[in-house]
Amino acid sequence: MEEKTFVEDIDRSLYDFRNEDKDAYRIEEGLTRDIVEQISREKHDPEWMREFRLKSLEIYNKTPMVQWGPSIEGLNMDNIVTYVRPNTKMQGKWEDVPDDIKDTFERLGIPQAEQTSLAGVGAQYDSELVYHNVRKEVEEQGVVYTDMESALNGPYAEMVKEHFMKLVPPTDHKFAALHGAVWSGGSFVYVPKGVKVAIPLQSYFRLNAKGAGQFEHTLIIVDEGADLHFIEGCSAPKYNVANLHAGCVELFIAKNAKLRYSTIENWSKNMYNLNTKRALVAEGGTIEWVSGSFGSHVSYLYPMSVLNGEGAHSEFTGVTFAGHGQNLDTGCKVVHNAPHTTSLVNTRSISKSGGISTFRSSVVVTNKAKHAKSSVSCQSLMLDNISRSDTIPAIDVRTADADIGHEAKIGRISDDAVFYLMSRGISEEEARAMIVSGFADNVSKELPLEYAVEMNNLIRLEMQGSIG
Amino acid sequence: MENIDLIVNQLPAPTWNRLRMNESRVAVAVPTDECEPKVALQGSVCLNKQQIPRIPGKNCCGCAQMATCPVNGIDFASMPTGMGTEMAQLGEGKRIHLVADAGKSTAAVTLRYDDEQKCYNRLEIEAKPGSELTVFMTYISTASAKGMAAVQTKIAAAKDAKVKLVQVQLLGREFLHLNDVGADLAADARFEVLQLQLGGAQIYNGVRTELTGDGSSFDAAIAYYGRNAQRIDMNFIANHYGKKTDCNMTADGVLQQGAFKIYRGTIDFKNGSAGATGDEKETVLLLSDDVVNQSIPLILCSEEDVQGNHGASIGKLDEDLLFYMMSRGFSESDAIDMMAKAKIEGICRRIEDEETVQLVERYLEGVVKE
Amino acid sequence: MAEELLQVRNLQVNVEDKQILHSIDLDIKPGETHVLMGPNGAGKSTLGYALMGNPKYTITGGSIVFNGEDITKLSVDKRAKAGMFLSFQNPLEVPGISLSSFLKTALEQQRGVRIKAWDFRKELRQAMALLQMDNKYAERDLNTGFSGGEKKKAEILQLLMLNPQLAILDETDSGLDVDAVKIVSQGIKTFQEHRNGALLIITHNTKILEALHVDKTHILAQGSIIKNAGPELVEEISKHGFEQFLQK
Repeated sequence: MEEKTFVEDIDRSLYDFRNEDKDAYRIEEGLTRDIVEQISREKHDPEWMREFRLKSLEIYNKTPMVQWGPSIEGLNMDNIVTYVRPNTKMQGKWEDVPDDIKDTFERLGIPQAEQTSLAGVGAQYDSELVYHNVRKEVEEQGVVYTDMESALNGPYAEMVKEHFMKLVPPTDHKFAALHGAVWSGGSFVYVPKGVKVAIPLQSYFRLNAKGAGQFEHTLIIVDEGADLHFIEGCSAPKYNVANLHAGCVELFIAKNAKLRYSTIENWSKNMYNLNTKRALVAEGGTIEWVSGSFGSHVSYLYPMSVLNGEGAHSEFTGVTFAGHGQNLDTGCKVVHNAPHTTSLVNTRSISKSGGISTFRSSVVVTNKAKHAKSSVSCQSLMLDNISRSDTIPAIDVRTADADIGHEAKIGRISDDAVFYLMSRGISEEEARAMIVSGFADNVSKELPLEYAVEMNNLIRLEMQGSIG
Repeated sequence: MENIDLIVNQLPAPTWNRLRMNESRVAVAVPTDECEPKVALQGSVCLNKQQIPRIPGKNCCGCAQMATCPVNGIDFASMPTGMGTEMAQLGEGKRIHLVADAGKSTAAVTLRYDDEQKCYNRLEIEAKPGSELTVFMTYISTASAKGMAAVQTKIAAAKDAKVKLVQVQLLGREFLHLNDVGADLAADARFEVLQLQLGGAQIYNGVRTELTGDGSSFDAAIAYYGRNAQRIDMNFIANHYGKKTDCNMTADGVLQQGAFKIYRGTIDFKNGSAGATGDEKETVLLLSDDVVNQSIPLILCSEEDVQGNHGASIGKLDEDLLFYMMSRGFSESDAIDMMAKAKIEGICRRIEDEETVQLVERYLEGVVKE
Repeated sequence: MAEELLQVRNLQVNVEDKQILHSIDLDIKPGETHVLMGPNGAGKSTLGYALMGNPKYTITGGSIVFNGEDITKLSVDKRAKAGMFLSFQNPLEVPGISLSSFLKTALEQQRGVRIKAWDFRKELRQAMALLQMDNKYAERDLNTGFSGGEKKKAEILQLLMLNPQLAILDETDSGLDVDAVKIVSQGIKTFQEHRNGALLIITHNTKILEALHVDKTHILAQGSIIKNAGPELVEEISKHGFEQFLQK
């Protein structure tokens, strides 16, 4: 037991350093009309946005809590600070970012990655972006990558207004309404027709403030025939009070366009991660979700693909690792709403040290989706006897001309496989870590190398001290 | 006429409400008629039609002492079922009680309904250690009849008992059918349920088995032929408590002509069910474009040493399979018809009772003529 | 000279948008045995499927005439009824329908009359005995859970029962052990000799041909027939492979 605690300390140290709160502005705790009005003023919202926030608040107050899924009783909105502005304006150069914040991102490896393998980076610290930069050649292609606040007041204001929370309306669920009321930060991306961005853009979200919420909004529009890979990373230090993340991601993929959206989520284990992600895919378009969920105390996360044009395609590749004190309810939703649409879902979940992981999905095939094809495969691994792993997949098919397959498997690490590896001189702990990494390779194979390495390190750290 | 609103077939773990799969609501009539079951017994099984006073904790005697047996140790009343606790709102119903002693035996229970009848029947089956009982239950009426046929069947299988329950539903076009099954299995007991859901307008069907004893096993196979805007609403649950318990659930069906079907199937590996295995397989052949198919196969697990699998395949007939069959000279419609019938055939072959199988065949011929 | 049973002229076949077969000419007379060989990916199976009428294989040009009738556009079941048979390389599993009831229904479809159960069973038993198949396979679901060898035997059993005029055998010998090849080959020989059936045997292994009379041999490479010859070519290929032909 002692070894386990020891190892977890090391584990967290990667992400668990925290800075003193030196924020420039911090709104009072709780959620009232006054607070929403204040956020709106602080952010210089256009009038429509102010009204949108207030309307969302009304919806929030009327919407009941979810009746299914993990308990969120430990989350008390009266104690959550919804807006914390860092002590800096958004910068275009790292040297202009205040030292403590810059150090944070350096320890997380963001500026280094920007040098080597990214086309652009946005870094959010608490409620606002502190750094944003795009490579020149990408900018010259006409790619827009900016923070949401600038987007709302810049040349793309109309486009933002046209799309903002149209895919995830505040009426969608209680935390979508909350997001509509108090959102801040996040990124806006527009990739013009036919532009293929060769290397990924990345946004990194860091929540440093104790007892705060992060409500960033990501809006990406990939125009006809364009191609983009967007990477999202998130982490936070651990506090003994609840933090909340209720972000919203809206992705619009135009005709024959393609977007890959990759996420490695490693929030601290006091985080309530109630995030909503959705993509609308037009004719011949493709959305690819790659999703690794490692952090958070409680997660509700089901990226949704609405396949609305003929031949639209979605792929979801996910891994969820629930360790001690974690209840991670993850999965995805797919709606086939046009002919010849196709979807693939391939997920793995791992439960360990009392962690609970739930794979939850829905595949809906409407009557319009003739010749639709969907294949779902989910596998779960139980690493001990005190954890839990549930699989709750729903399928609703309303046309005869469809081909829908589903398979689920649950089991444990094979003793034979462990024995085989150990017979080659590998320790039991290492052998088990190797097998679990291999089990999750559906996701690591899809990630850029640096991120795959980071993910395997996360698994390795989680697996240390798991014997005995 | 007064109706009772029931919430039935609840998923053991709910999901998004907007999918409308978590449970079903059904308005049922207050049962007003008596449907006297016809019972034919063979072998070491006997029947007690009396309301047996229950004193929990005392063991009942077997067949030989049935007449003088005042007490019964099995608490059938609190045994959970697939459709859920709200079935109790139907009242006491008409109850019969079967006791099977060690050795092989069969019981045929036929429920024949008249037009406009609204009945609630209950059957309790006590399978003593080492018994091997097959129960054939047939629900039947004229083709055009309407009414309500609610039946609850509870099975207590003692150590090493084997119970095979064959339920064949051939009700009239306008019948509401509630078929509720619950079973509790002691060590090394085996429960096999075979169902053919062929008639009726609205069918609510729940089967729940508690695999309590180590080494117990549960095998459920259902075939249905949904048509004429039928609603077929199912909830199958296998709760694994005992070590090395095993379940195998298959649902195989055809949907056409505006039929609606939901299949909920749950394998729940409880903590302590080490060595348990569970398999669930569903295939649905969709033959017309106005049907609705909902499937929600759950695997819940809080035990490391288990193996669970689920597979579902939903859609039209596989193109390669269709080509293979047509290459042997079958036309497309013949090939599809054959595959549809094969689903029912598959259950018929396991029924092992010529009379029941013939009844099904005659019924299907009638359906074809319709 | 006898009428041609099968006459293929300038056949071009696409799979999706890709052309697989370029310009195939092939003539088979009643009772003749032809062998089609060629390297992997040459399009051998494609030819088998196209002749049988698999809708995934689009005929973009040319014609197939069977028994004097143009069947290029005929559906697969009609081709089967006209007397063609394809033994699949990977026979499909048909759950819920037993081998015997499948065959009986297929025969009744073909003949248009009901067949007495007794007569059918007798015929089936004889054929199964020839293929050394256990009688209990008759009552098992067609191909379901059969091993690779059992599936191939079940294909030849269907061949013997349905008794077509032309059988296309697509790699019937692949994945079989030595003994199974002998048995399957015996079944094919019975079809050849006692039923006077014509055969197009697709293979890249000459083992199965050892006991069989062969009339003609064709080599297919990259979607075209690059050589037509007599039975001596089989011997040649079994000794030296088909590399030499590909160079030319």
